Amino acid sequence: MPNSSTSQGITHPEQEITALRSRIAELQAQLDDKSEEVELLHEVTAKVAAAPDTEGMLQCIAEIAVRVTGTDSSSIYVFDQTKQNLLLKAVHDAPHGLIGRLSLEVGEGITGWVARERHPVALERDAFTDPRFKALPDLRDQQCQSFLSVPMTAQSEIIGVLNVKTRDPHVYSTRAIHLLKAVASQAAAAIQGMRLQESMTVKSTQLSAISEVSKTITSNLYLEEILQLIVAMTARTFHFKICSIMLLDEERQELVIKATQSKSRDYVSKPNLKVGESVAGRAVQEGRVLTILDVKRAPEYRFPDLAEKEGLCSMVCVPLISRERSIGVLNCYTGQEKVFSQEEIDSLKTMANQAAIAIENAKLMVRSAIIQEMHHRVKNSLQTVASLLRIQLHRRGEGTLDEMLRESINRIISIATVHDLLAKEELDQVSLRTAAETILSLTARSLLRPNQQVQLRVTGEDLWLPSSRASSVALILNELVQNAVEHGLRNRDEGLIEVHISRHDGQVMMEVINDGDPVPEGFDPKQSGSLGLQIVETLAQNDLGGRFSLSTTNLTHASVVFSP
Amino acid sequence: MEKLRVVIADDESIIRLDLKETLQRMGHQVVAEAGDGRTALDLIRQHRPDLAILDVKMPEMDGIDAAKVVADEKLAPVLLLTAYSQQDLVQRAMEAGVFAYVVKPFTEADLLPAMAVATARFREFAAIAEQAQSLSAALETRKLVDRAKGILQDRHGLSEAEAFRRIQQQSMNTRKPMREIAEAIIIANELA
Repeated sequence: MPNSSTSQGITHPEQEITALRSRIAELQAQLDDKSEEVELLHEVTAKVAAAPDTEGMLQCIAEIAVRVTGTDSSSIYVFDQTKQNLLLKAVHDAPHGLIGRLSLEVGEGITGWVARERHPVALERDAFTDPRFKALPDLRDQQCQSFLSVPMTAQSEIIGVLNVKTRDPHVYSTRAIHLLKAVASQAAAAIQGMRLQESMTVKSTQLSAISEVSKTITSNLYLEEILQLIVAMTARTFHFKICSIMLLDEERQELVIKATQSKSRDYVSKPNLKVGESVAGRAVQEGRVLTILDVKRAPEYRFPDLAEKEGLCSMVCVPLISRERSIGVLNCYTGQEKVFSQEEIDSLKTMANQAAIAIENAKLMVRSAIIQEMHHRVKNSLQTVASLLRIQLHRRGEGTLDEMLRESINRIISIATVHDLLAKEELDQVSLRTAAETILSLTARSLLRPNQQVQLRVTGEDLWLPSSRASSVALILNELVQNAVEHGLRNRDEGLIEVHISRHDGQVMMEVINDGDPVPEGFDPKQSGSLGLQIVETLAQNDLGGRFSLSTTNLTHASVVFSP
Repeated sequence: MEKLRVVIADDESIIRLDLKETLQRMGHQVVAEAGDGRTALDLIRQHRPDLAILDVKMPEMDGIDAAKVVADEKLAPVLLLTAYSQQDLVQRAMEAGVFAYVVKPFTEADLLPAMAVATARFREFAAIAEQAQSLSAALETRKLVDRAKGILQDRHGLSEAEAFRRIQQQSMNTRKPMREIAEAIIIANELA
């Protein structure tokens, strides 16, 4: 009845006054309601702001809800976005034991219906007869006559559901429903605010972890250290129980653990995975992220015993992709069941990308270092060749030009043999036996006369020589074999040259034995003036820190003893 | 080129042998040889050679680090042998006080000018250092004499020329350098 005063005129002033008075009283009551509502919302805001965490805040809301509606008890369910269900988060005057454990699907019970429809439900009596009602005996729901359920929404998103109940029938006024809705939307806004803050904190931790990782990979650390840092940081940032990086061995098509923050011996020593095998192997094969809710119950997971022992539950495997190829996988395990959000998976992908970049980077660095080292070695070997030739040049007149050139060629070939073997080995080492076999055959064959029948053999142990010593050993062998052919077997049509390798008290003894003419009586290698023996002496003593000796019993032994 | 006493160092003995023979044939004397940087440094300190020829890549201490110490202690000119010819390495060598370098594989023709450059520059450097030292000593004397002159002028009301003449006279009479006389005057003035 707005603005009745003007049209009705002034014919019935008393009637008019009464009408105005009642209008004033009505407005007064409305104002009181509004002030009460404002006060209530003030209280809600203050309590929400003072609450230490979401749980504490919801507890306050549950209390206020009971007070403003004059009901017996209340409950609050919060919608879980990853699991897409409603979880009981707070109750007032009802058993607390189910908080955090009782969950409802959307559409399940009155609460689920309200969440789905985003529309309040008010039942004044016999609430349990409503078709939507679902008995939850643990919450004593079946004893309730009345039930008021309002959705908690923020920016048209469902955040949860707020319920109040009474044991006896209860009338819910429009005003009471309105008040509860106001409280619910306050609570919803607060929850969303807290969620945003949490996700900001999480994101900022993740971002700072990622930025630290990218700083790390551009530093000069070794690859192992970088990968170790990535797993440690990933585990810490995302609270994983075990985090590991496996790299693909292209040749064997196997995944090998390269880094993990886990101290578990069992985990570290678990066998390599074939590509396609178990979850990690499949993630690499398919080049996509795979998640498992519980590895203990996943039939494809290869290590259920290990998972049981270490208490592993959910798993996410993120392939490391470089130039559109999987080069490894980042594996993360939690101790409890966990559904990974898209956001977490995206962050983990970023970590995996960083790891992939680090690996590529390290490969390039290694390649460039190898090229530089190779360049240096080749230069040094060429210097050695030049030096050998010049030393020979200074001793002109020791033999014919033919002989000198043939000797030089053999020396160059023996140095080349080491380069050859080094190129074939992944390690920076050379097998002494292999080197000896090659040099024996190359040198002896180049010097033996066509009609000479000489047996060549390498016997004894084998050992790995570092590249720095390998060329010295090769040059020595070359000279000794050359001497065996040119001096020992010079006048023989048949014979034997044997290279024998043995170890005594940590020393290596390398002997070149021949069954030809003995060394002349009183022959002193140091005084002989032979370039070959001078080379042997120099290399044995200075480069190998060993010694050279020559003796004949029934066979001639030219031996070098040195520390490997 | 005059006959030099040389210390050589290379971890590969064949190369060292060649270097030694080459130097000997050039008429120089190899007084000591080493297979690593640390031993080379000890030998250079011990023999004070006219030239040290060091390989860059050696165990224990590399040639550049050894050259740095040799330069700091003004022991001998250093000639570096290197398998690399990169700019940054040469830069590092120059900063370490190396006067010349030769890239492997070297020839006698490479060694000769490099050795000449290294020894000449070392000598030049030593001469300049000596000159700098004597100049700074002269400057110091001059400063002291000036202060002493000032004292005499103030105390005895002498002219500058007269004050200088007195210091000179005293130096001649006592057969002490003018610097000492000036110092004595300054000390006496401080005590009074």
